[in-house]
Formats: sequence, C-alpha cells, structure tokens
Amino acid sequence: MLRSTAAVRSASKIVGRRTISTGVTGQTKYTTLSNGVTIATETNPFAKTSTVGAYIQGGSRSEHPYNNGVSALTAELLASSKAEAGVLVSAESTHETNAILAQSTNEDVLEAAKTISGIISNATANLESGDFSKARSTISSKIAAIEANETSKVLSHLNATAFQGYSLGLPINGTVDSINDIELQDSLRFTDKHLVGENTVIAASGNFDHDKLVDALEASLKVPSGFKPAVKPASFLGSEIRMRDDTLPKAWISIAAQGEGLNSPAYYVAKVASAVSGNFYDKSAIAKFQSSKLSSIVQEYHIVDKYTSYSTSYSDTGLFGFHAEISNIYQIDDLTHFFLKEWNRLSISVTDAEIARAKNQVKTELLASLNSSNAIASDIGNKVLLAGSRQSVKEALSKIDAISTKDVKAWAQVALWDQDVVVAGTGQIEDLFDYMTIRNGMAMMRW
Amino acid sequence: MLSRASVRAFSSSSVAAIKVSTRDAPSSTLSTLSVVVNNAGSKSGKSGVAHLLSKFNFLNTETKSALRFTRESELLGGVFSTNVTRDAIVLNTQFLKEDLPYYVEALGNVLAKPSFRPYEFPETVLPVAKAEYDVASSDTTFTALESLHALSFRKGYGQPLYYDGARPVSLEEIKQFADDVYTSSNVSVFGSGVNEADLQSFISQSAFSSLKEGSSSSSSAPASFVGKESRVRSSGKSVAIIGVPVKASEFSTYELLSTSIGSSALASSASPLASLPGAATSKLLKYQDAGLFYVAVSDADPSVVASSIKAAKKILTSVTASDLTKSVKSTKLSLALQSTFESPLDIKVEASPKADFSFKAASFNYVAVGDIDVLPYADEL
Amino acid sequence: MASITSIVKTADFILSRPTLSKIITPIAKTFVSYAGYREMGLKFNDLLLEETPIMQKAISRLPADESYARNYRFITAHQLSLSHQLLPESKAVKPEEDTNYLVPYILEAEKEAFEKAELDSIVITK
Repeated sequence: MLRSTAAVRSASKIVGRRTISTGVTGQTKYTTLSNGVTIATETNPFAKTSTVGAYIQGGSRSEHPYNNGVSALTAELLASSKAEAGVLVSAESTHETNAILAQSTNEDVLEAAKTISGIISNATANLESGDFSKARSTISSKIAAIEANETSKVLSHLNATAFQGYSLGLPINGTVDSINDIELQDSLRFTDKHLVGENTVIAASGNFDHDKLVDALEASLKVPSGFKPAVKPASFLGSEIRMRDDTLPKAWISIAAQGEGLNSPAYYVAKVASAVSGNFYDKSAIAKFQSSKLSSIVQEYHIVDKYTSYSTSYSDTGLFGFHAEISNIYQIDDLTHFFLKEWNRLSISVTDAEIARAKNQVKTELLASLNSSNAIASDIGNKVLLAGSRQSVKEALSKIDAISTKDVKAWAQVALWDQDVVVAGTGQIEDLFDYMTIRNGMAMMRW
Repeated sequence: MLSRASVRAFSSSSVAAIKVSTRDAPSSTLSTLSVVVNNAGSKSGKSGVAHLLSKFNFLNTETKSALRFTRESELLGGVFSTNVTRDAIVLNTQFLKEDLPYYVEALGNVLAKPSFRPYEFPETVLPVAKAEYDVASSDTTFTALESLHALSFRKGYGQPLYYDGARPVSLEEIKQFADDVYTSSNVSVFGSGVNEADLQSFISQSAFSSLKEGSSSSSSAPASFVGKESRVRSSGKSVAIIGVPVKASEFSTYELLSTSIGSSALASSASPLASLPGAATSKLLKYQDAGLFYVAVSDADPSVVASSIKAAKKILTSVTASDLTKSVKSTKLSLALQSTFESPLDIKVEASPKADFSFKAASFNYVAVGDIDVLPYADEL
Repeated sequence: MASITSIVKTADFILSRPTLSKIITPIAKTFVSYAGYREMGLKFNDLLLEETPIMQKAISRLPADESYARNYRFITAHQLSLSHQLLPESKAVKPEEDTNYLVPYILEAEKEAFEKAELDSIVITK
C-alpha cells in the first residue's frame, strides 16, 4: 500500500502531498511528502513525550564484511549533530534499519521535527562537521559491551552462523577490525545510497496533531528522491559456533531453527509457539508455579538458571529459538533434550489449553511492548520500512485470536520437525553435545 | 477522527478511603492496575522487613493458592510483579481489558487476606529476596548509593532498600508489619485503560473493602546530614559518588542542575559530564518528603574514576544560575520522561530559576567504593 | 498407595458414625498395641513411608523442634533394634503422646500436589 507506484508518485507531486489513510485513534496515519518520504504517526492521548524518528532501510544487512558497521556509525554520527533545546536525540540501529530519534515534550514536538529535518536535510554537512572519531569510539564501546555480555555475545554469534556468507549474518555495529577501517567517505557513500525519499520513513508517536507535523516536515525536510536499494538476499544454514571458555562461571547457550519473517502469514503463529515454552528465571517467586511444562521440569531438577524463548523476525526470515544460562554445567544436555522435546511436542501433542494461554500471553506482550513514544515510533518505522505497512493493534489481535492449535501443529511440522538448527555457546559448554546429536533431537523416531 | 477531549478521561476518587485514580481510552485493549502501599517502603519498620513482605505478595492467600493464581493469570495472559521502593510497596498487574474484575479481586486478596504459610518464608521468600539482594549488590554503584543514603539520612531513607540478612527478621515481624501497613488509608489504586465506574464497583465488592482503616501517619521531612564520607573496599568497578540530601521544595532547582551537567534521565553525549572519561552521570532521586541528588562516576580503572570525580566536582561547583536557565526546556523533557501515571511528578520548573544559585562546595556527602587505595578522599576533591 | 488425604477422610467418616467407631476403634487400638512400635520409642507418623516427594516436602516443613524429636526417636529405635531390647513401659511412647504431628503437613503437601496435577491437565471448554 505504501510502495507507491509511479502513477501514485506523480499524482502526489501534483497535489503536493497525499494522505493515504486517515486513521481513528490507535491506528497509524500515513502521509507521503512530495519528496517521496512517508510520514507515519500514531497519536496517544496518554503520552507524556513525543518522538519523531527518521528511519532508513539499511542496517548491517546493507553492508559487506569490509565496511561492516558503517550504517550504525553513520546513524551515531548524525545523532550527535546539533539539536534544538529540549530535544533528546539518539540513534538506533538494527540488522536492517537505522534511525535517528528525537524525543521532546508534547508541546515541543515541532522542535523535534525541526531537529530531525535539520539532521536529515543537511546529512552530508552534518557528517563532515561531526566528530567522526568520537562516534567511532562510541560504536567501538558498543561492540565491546556486546562481547563482554555473554548473552548478547552468544545471540550475536548465533545470528552470524545462521546467516553465514550473507550480509544478514554481520553484526549490527560491525567488528573491532571493520570499524577501525571505516572512514568518513564510507559514511557519505552510505547516506548517498540509502538516505533517499523512498527509503526513508518519518515515524512519530506522542500526543500531537498529525497534520501540523506533516506541514512542518513538508516545509523543512529535504531528502533527495530516489528508489529503495535492493535488499540483499539471506539464507539460513544449519551450523554451530562454540566459544568454550572454562574460566567463565557458567554456560550460555542458544539454539534456534529458521523462523518467520515480518511479512510471513505465520509471524504470529511462531510467536505463539514460542510462548508455549515461555520464559523462566529460577530465582523468581513464581518459578515453581509457572504453567509451561518445560518450566516445571527444569525447576524441579534445577537444570537451568534462566531461559528465554524467542521468535525474532527480519523482513524475510527469522530465528525461532531459545537462550539459556546454566550453572549446572553437567546438565546442559538435559536442558537441550527437554527443550527439543518441547519443540517436538508442538508438532504432535501441544494442547488447546497451552495454545490458549500462549495466545493471551502474546497479546499482552505485544500491547505492553508499545509502552513509550520511542518504542511506538520504532515499531512504526521498522514495520513500515520492512513490511510495507504497520498493522493496527486491532488487526494484530484478531490475527492472534484466529490461531488454532491445528495451525501451530501444522506450522511446527513444517518449520521445526526434523529441521536444521543453529547452535551457539560460550562458557563451560563441554556438555553441549555435538551438532548431530542436537540435530537428531529435532524429530522423534516414534511417539 | 475522535476529538482528543472525548478520548481523555481522568478522574480520581476514593472508596472507603482507598484512593483510586483512573484514566481510560476507549481504544485501549490493555489495562494496567497498580497498587501503591504508601508508608510501607524500606524507610518504614525494621530494616529489610518491607522487602520481605513485598516478596509475600502474590503468594498463597486465604482464598487462592499461589499456584492457582499464577496459572490462572498466565491463562488470561496477564503479568504481575511486585517491588519495594524506599517509600512504598508497589504491586503491578497488566492484563487484557476484559479481565479487570479478576485482577481487582486478586490484588484485594493479596492485601487483605494473605495467609503467610510458615513454609513459604524459607522455601520462597528468603531465597528470592536474597537473590534480588545479591544481584543488586554485585553492582558497586548500588552499594555506593546505599551507603550514600545511610550517610545522608541515617534512619528512614537511610535504611537498606533490601533485606541483607545482617539482622534476621522473623515471620511474626513480617505479619505484624503487614497488619500495620496494609490499611485502606495507605493504599492507592491506579488503573490505566480502565473504566472509572467499573473499577469503583469492583473494588467495593472485593477484599479491598475489608481492609481496616489504619491511621495515616503524616510524615515530616526527615533529618538529613552532610559533610560525611564513607569508603568501602570492594572488587568490581570502582565508584565515587558525591551526594546532597535535598528538600522536596528544592526538587526543581536540582532537576535543572542535573540536566545542565548531564542527567541519567537524558542520556546525551553533549553534556559536560558525558565528556569525562568513565561513566559520569547525575540524578535526583525523588522521594515522598525528601530527595537525594548525586553525581556518580564509575569505571573499571580506579585512576579514571579518581580524575573524573575531581573534574565532576569542578563542573558541579562552576554551574551558574544562567546555566540553569538554559536547561529549562530540557528539564521539562527530563521530567516528562521520568513521570509515570503511577508516580506522577508534580514539579514546576520556573522559567527563571533562583538567580543566586551556586552549589555549596563543602556541604556534600561522599562515598568511594572499589579500589579505595586509589580513589580520592572527600577533602582532596 | 492410598493418599493420606483419603485415609484421613475415611477415619473421619468412621469417627462420625457412633456404631462404626464403636466397632473399629477397639480393633485399631488392639492393632496398635500389638504392632509394638511404641515400645521402640516411635510414633505412628514415624512409620509412614518417607521416600516420596510429597513426604519429603512435608518432613522438610516440620518445625525445628519436631524435626529434632523425630530424628531422636529414630536413633532410639535403631539403638533398641541393635541391642535387641524394648523400652520399659515407663519410657515407651504413651497413647496420648502418639500424636499425628506429621499428618497436617502431609495433607497440605498432598493438596498442593493434587492441585498441580489438576492444573497441569486443564482443558478448555467453550
């Protein structure tokens, strides 16, 4: 709906701007500016602050191993440009998008818009006058922080091995090697290619008037027109990466199968399937009371300190898996066994009660995640860029409601049963069994 | 499009002395119901008792077992949590809009009908409380802030936030504390995405109505102390903190001060503190009747902390009234970011703050945690 | 094995019927005196099979003094068994001392286990 055809584009030039849809409260309103930039906003009467963010499709997926990190670095450098008083500017980068966010009070939302216009319209000048080495050291310390935290390290390497050989496997902030080789010229090349009308979305959330924001941006935002650069392909490869380090106190592991993309019809099915095993933290008061079958097993036998189930999505693919932190290092094999049997069960004998619970949990989680103006703006920006449009909350809820136990089983039989997995681990992972043993756990000989 | 005025519905009223605040938007499908029990935070009672009591929340009640409540709540998709602050015990629930009566009843039972089974204490409450304490105190910044509170307020706000096990608390003491603080005059209910009339009627039908009235003790501003220093030898990152106890009437001035030098509520790389090596930041901790403003520096390398805390002190003392005036707009944003529906901040930032403001150089408390051989003394700053 | 809950229920039923309790109570008393555990210094609750998760939970929840007394009785019984002796009548456990000190804890643990089993097999009915 938003990937406007040539006819629509020319029409929008004639009328100056074209409102594609006007929404009621709780829905995203879209306007396309004359330069091709889409403005997508959602207003919320309870918002205490407003966020205006410029989102461009790019991210580490648009890079190659030698300029890995350039998009995050560029976003960071742009975010350090001069801001209006009372506006807080920050950068946000994912595998596929980069964003500059300006946050302000509701009254100052036009100042935030002005800040974003100032940064984006004069991107080249801002990059040239910015403190490049400071931005580089910020990104370097982000890389170091990810590597210093075992959980993020494992997840980052898991992604790298899952999509190895493709740009989607590159880490968001680049590597220590690549980031030091990047020069200002690389940043300029990145903005030339990616900061173009069709590839840019201004997402805003807060308590303000959509039309006034559009008027302000129409007058001030200058983005060269241009087409969306092609998204580089990616392919999932069953593989493993082991970073065994017996000097660390525990084991951190993650196993995942290929998941669903943002545009996949099974996007919410995967989310529901993931919620069946749910999350678990040994030291929480409710650890022994939780519903998920897996949590009551691991709780009883003290197998794991903490586990998280996830279903993350990129535009066309994703990862469906779990991450676990284990002190009981001789029982890693028990955890992987029980977890994979839980995945097997999704194809065979998951119950209606479990699915009903998981559906409700996914609904609350979805609603609760949209808890700040920054979070809502990011959701809008990323979804509009990667999925073409953002579903209203109502649509999303009705999609989740429509999922049946049968749907989950059908999905699991295709996506999980006897499928390849990726495995990553660090710490004392002697007991993380070899790849084939884990891979064999993805199916059962009889049930 | 609906006009904004019709979407908005704020109201507050009280059922049998329980303060109820709601806001509702017809389009919202998620509801949040929170209960704040004032005068039940770690400043009240014996050290640690409030933390332990908070861990009894959502365990067995006379009407429902913890297992059944957790299972039912998960089936409804709801989430619940409880925590202790220095002022209050807070219970939070989040659920789909249609489940409001279930959660009103559940929260009412937690407060009015806890069963305090003796085995829950060693089996659940103590290990969970200890784990929370251990996680918090593995961070040297937390240790330093605890120490700073103890220096600045001694009693009340100076008591440890969590139960540290230094002096055992018995189940009887916890029961007594619950009896004293779980009263209708202490309880405030906040409902977001909730219909006011519905909530009122559910509350009046629930166990909330059986809470006894209690006496609402009017608290006065606590005594505060300055010019003290504390040094704690510890492994991990080194931390140095300069802290000043603040009166509630001075909140806006110190918020301006915090913003102008670099506040943790407004993480911006452009602030004077952010330009120092080591993570340097400032914050105003705001409590019911007092506050604590601090500037903290932490780093793995103690010599970086030593030089940065000295530089931070210089930045702090060189702030002028005109610097404060310049940060009025940012402070408004900072306050908007820190304010929540459950704990709204009612702080007016004046357009032109006190002209004679200057940070009093000698009147602060100082805490050093970590490699204290290298970290400076207060008089060396 | 029948759960302690069901045994307690049966016992309550018998005691609630005067005729039934008139017949069964003397039989029970005779059985207990022939069983002879009281001469070994034990209480009836000490004899219950303890190698089950429910019993382990119940025992772990005993107050410290009850738990100490229970272990002391076990040691006494072991010593008597070893030395092939019985306690003199004055030191044997008296009928009024043979209390059901553990039963309330077992009932509570069983109640939890039954509730968990029920909730684990919850079914959605539309």
